[in-house]
Amino acid sequence: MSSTSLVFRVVERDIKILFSDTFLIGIMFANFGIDLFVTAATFGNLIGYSYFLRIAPGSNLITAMVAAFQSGRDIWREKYIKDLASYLLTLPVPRRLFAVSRIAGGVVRSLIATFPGTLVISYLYGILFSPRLIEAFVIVGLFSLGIVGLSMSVSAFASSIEVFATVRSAIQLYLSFLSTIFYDVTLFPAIVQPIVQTNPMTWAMQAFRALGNQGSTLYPVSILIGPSVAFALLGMGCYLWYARL
Amino acid sequence: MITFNRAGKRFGTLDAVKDFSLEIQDREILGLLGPNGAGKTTLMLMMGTVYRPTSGAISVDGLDVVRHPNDVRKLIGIAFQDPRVDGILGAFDVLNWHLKMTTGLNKEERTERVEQVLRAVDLWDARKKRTWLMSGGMRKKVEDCKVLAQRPKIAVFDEPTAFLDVPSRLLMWKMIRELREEGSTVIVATNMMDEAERLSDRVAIVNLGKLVATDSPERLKGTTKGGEVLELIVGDGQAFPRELLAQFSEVRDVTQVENKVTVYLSSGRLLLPKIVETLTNKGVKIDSVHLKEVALEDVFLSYTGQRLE
Repeated sequence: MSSTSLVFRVVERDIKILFSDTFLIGIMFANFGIDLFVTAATFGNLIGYSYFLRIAPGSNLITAMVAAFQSGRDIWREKYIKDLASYLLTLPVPRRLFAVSRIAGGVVRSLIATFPGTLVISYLYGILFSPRLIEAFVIVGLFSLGIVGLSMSVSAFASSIEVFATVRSAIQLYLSFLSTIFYDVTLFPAIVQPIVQTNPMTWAMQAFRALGNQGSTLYPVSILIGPSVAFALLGMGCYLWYARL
Repeated sequence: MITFNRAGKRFGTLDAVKDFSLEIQDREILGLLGPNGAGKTTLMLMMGTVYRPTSGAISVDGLDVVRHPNDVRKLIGIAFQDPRVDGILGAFDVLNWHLKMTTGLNKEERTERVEQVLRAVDLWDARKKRTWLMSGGMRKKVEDCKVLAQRPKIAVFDEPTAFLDVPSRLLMWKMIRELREEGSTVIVATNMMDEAERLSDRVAIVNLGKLVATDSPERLKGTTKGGEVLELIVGDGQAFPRELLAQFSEVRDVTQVENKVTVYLSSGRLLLPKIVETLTNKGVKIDSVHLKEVALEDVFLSYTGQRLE
């Protein structure tokens, strides 16, 4: 079996598990709907339609973040609750390839969970029927890559589901409120501006806004690659550490 | 051939397996017999490349498990003691994915093989039922079916009939034997005496992480002193005068666990009345007497000094 084929087969399992629980997918889409059509729309009514459009992609990226963390939670459950990890580790897949597959599986799951949301945002930004729709998916995929990596890192070290949930909440706060979802970076206190500027959510948001303004996404996307790849490598390393022979 | 060469595994300060040496021949059914915590699962996980041995070496078909883990994994299929299946998936999906990962079968071949094993264990009608909704016995069958459908070169079953009813146990033993007929080497870890005795060509007794004895069940029983066992239940709290039995040359060994005295001997039928008479004359209260041929359970007791139950 080729390496690519093995990766596809591991990813296939992750997708099958995602689709086995359609309730979960429904909940994620409902969360997106509430974020967008209640929270963002309310802020939009308070400040103006342009502000609604400005923060709208945040709803979709938060859904991507939730989906990405579900991959980490599943890996944690495999290890501590179901003890599936020891079974998976007996399968004839080289460890590194297995780690890459788990990250790829998380990204694909995240893209599937945000598929309707990405279409809605693309519609709002007037790019639904243009080739730039692909860029929207690339942004969500790149962002998810980093968050899946982060969630895998947490799953490798969390000794209980409470620890996992607490660390996840802290990361979600960082991604949501130390980013430019709601405010421009200049509005943050100077001391936290460097954190905001290295937050992958900031650059995913900037990339979406560039799409909305019909501008180039090259700059924000090229910066987004940095933390996303770094977090993905961190996740891989942690997964390999816990899956070591 | 699988070779354990002074293999050991230490978790912190605990030696789960220590100085374990054993060779397992191709197409052999080896019963790994020992109580819970004896180190059976650790041995299998070391062989399956999940745990790295902390000392010694293990090779599978000449491949070192540390240096060539992925090549080793291609040869092995492990059915775990506690079913390791995705609860949210049905039995068909679990087995189909397992075959996808471990064999080069195409879709039709996989479907055929999954159907074959699921029908054999009477789970075909429940193939779409989520495994977490299944009973413990059904889940265990699914776990065993992973290896039965995979037909690996080396098939490992950890307590393959735990949670199964009697007909299912007999069926599972038959399927495991058939797997060997098809060319697999089979390792069965169990703490059930009858399973080890009826299924294995050879039994390895493991206790406290060490190999205590290994041979065919018949030979192991033959080596146990005398070939017969006399079990006496004596009055509670009564000291048993072992020295009284030393006068009989046919008596090879005497052990006592609480009020149960086990006498290993030969010519038991002739000797039984004399032993009972001697003991009662000395005031030993005997509640019951049972003479039987040596069973594997007695072998285990004689080697380890403890019972499996």
